[in-house]
Amino acid sequence: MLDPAALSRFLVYARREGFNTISVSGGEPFMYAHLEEVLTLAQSEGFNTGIATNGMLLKTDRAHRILEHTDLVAVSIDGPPYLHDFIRGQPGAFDKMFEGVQVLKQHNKPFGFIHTVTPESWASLIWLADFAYEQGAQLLQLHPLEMAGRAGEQLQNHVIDDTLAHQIFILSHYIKSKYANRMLVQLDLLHREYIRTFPEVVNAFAAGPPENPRLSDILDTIVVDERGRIIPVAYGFNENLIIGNVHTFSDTVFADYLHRQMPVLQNVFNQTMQKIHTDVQSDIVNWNEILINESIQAA
Amino acid sequence: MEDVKSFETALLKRLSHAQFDKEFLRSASSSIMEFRKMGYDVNGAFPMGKLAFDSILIRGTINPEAFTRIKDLLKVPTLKTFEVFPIGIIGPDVFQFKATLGL
Repeated sequence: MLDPAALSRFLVYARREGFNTISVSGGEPFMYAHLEEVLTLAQSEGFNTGIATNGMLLKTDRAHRILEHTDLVAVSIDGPPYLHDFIRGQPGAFDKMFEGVQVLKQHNKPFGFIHTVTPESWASLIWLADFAYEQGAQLLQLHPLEMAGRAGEQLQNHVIDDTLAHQIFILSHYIKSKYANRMLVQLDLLHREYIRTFPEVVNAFAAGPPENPRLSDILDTIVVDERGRIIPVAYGFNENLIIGNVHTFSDTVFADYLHRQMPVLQNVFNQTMQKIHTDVQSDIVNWNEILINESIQAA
Repeated sequence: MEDVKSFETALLKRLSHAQFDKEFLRSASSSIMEFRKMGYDVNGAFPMGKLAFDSILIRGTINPEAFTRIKDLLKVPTLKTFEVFPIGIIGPDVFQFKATLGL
């Protein structure tokens, strides 16, 4: 169980060390008993605060208080109503999510939709963008299903293969243009040529090892999981490269970690770049997924 | 509005059928990427050729400052034609372009 006092101490430390955005996801964040106090503290420390939610628990007074300390709410959506209900295994799930969206609109709370793209849902992306825009969303984030953890064992039939990645890429660029300057459309896939041309977008080591970096100069994202472990990049990263634990960290945990692991991290990032450059069959890539796989091969 | 719906229906149909033609998909994605890297905003990619796709029409918008980098188009080896024309009263600072790339 994640101790809220320990998490709060860590948030203060992380903010001082240059991290400036917190996004709470789950499971369902509104099930976390201490969400209100964590977000209150995070906002008072100057974090941009966000929640990724299924949108079904937004009607309570507690939810309203939490929303006051949340800058952006990302509501997960699996597609049109029939597909959303089917994937959630719950008839009426879309309607409940939709009611939650109306609550956000009543509170003038900035919100977006986050969609995990699957072979079943890609053809609904235009519908999804139209729906998101009509509801007043500021963001539509399209995230490919990643084969990490349980997904890798249970969802092998839902893999985003090369062909599907191209289809998603082309379609999402159409959607980006359609809603340019009106709604931000973010696709969590990159073209190999883009990474080759602008490596610094994903790789802090692209121009060689930075001098006296802070951890926030190297990593855009660190994850605190339900056990309090501080994980680089994303879930699934090599356990030998875990940064520490919020229940036991010291005020030098980031510096100690860099001192100990920066050459290994640099190797993982560079191996990822190398893999993307040499695998000419895969034009559209999920940077994080490859980075995680390379981390597992390293160390 | 009807035009938009027709276009989107056709786009989805082409992409769905294109699952049997990965070369088309690769060329379309690559072309979009090349143009985006140069500052062009791409909003369409269409296969051309009646019996077999032999070229792709790319269309989109471009801001005048991108004209200074127009020579970079020479880096796109498959470029066959490139046309630019003003959108007009609606967007006086924006130009539309059409480019054809051979496969």
